[in-house]
Amino acid sequence: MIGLLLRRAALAAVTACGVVVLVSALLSAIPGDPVDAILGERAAAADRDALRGSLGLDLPAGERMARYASGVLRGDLGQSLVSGRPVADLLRERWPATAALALAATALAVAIALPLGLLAAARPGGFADRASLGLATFAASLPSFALGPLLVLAFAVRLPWFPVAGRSGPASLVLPATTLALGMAAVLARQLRGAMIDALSTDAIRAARARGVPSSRLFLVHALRLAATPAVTVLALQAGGLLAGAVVTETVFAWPGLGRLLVQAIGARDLPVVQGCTLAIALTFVAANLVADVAQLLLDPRTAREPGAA
Amino acid sequence: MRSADEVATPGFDALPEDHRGAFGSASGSGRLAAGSALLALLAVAALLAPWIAPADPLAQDLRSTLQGPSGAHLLGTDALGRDVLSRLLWGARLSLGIGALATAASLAIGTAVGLFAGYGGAVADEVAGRVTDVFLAFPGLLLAIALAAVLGPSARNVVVALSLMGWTTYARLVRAEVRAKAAQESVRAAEALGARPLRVATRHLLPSVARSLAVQGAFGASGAIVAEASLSFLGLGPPPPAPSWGSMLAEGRALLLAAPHLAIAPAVALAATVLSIQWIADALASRTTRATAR
Repeated sequence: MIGLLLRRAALAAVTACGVVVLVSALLSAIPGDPVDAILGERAAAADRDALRGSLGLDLPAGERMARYASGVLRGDLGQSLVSGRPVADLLRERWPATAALALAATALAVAIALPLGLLAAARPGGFADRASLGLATFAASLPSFALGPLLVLAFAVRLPWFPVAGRSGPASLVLPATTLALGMAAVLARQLRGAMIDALSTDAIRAARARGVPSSRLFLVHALRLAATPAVTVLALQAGGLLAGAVVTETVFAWPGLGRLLVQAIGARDLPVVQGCTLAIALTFVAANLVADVAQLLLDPRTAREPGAA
Repeated sequence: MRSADEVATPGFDALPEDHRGAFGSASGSGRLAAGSALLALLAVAALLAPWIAPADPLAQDLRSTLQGPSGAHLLGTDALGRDVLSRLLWGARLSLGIGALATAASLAIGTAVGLFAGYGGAVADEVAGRVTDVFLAFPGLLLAIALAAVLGPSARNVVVALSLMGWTTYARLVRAEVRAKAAQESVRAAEALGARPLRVATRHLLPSVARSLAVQGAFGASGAIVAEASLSFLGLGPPPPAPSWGSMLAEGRALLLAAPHLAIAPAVALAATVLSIQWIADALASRTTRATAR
């Protein structure tokens, strides 16, 4: 068990190293001279040389990568080309807004998915089952940048209940969080439904039923405990993925988080900030994956017996 | 039974990962027919856009901007007086074309990596596994956004970015199925008869993966179309004035109060496209599940 946990942690560390390499290699992916791409071709020679030096473009690619990696370990992600401020400070400033949005969206998704998934599993083919399936199809076919404006149209313009955009108090959180949560809730509800139906057909549940456990308790306590493990795993992965989903949603709602910082930095050709945001989001996702793996191992020791399963 | 379900689609977080076998098998053929008909309609509209579009999608008419739907402009006009229906039809070419190209390229990369990992021995498997993990560490569209940002906005770069993001799902699927198949008698026999690895891979292993790859590819295609629209929405797609659905949505969002039809038209077109492909994919998935169950 401890060996498995260590192996998962080691794999996550290897992946994190790969992420750092890939992010630092983004600079090399720019076609032509990155200095031209960032400053334009008519920039002064002194500015060009200064930029070349600060990005490490005068160094060989391997050395540049090593320098970036050692900076990451020290918490130094370079300076913004626009404001000149350390990228790490910018990330720290934007982080709370994204975290608030992600937390609200996760809470809302669970609040929708838990009852919906349980009702769908209680009566497969029934109303809740059809509703959860409808939500899943709806959410998959209407991505956040289409859903967001439609929600704004309905609940900020026609019915002026919530602000159109920006971050100003709890009310401004509702529409962006709903936009993110609907897709998440749809996947989670279907996952929970499947896990509950699987759980209800296990021997443990049949034995409990034979012992005369009342069916509501059987359903809400015994089966839900079994079904919780896969659902929690999916939830942890989704929560990590929310940071990426937030890139589009934050743009739709002018929400001052990491995703909007990334899009603004792309618009301003502020490459160190682009790299910093990408790195921060990816490493958070790697960490969320690790948490999901560990949670699964701890909640359900059966998975420990199938090392190849994940 | 659950092997197809276990292959998630991590590249495209908009897709529900678990519901593919969930549609009742009774409605499977209905969904296949409805999805195929809708997709065929969209594809024909895209192909025939130069002939059936009522106007030039780039022609501006600053005297009649932001008009609602009317006889002259069935879906109204945008902020520059361009005909929205014409832009929608030309946008279908971009959306469907980029989606198809990106899916084909992802399938090719993923199949190659999956074969290499599943049939290339333990070292190849380990190397391919770690590389796949690194690409999977970028959730959702993040990698495509970062790549499109450094490569610059163009239709070609969107295809490159989406292909580099989308291949991992296929690689995992091919690897898993190839490993299972490689242990079977028929493959062992071919090897014993001296068939070279490449021949075994292409003649014996790939055909058995084709069916599940097709299902996964259909789900991937709808994800790629959404992803293209997302990149265009963020300004990372084909540069203006190209009529991409995503950039039309971005323009429409800014004018939501004055002209809601600008955002609604591309949203509906996108939803119809994704829905039609999802229906086809769902029907294919439930057929595959039933075929393996027999």
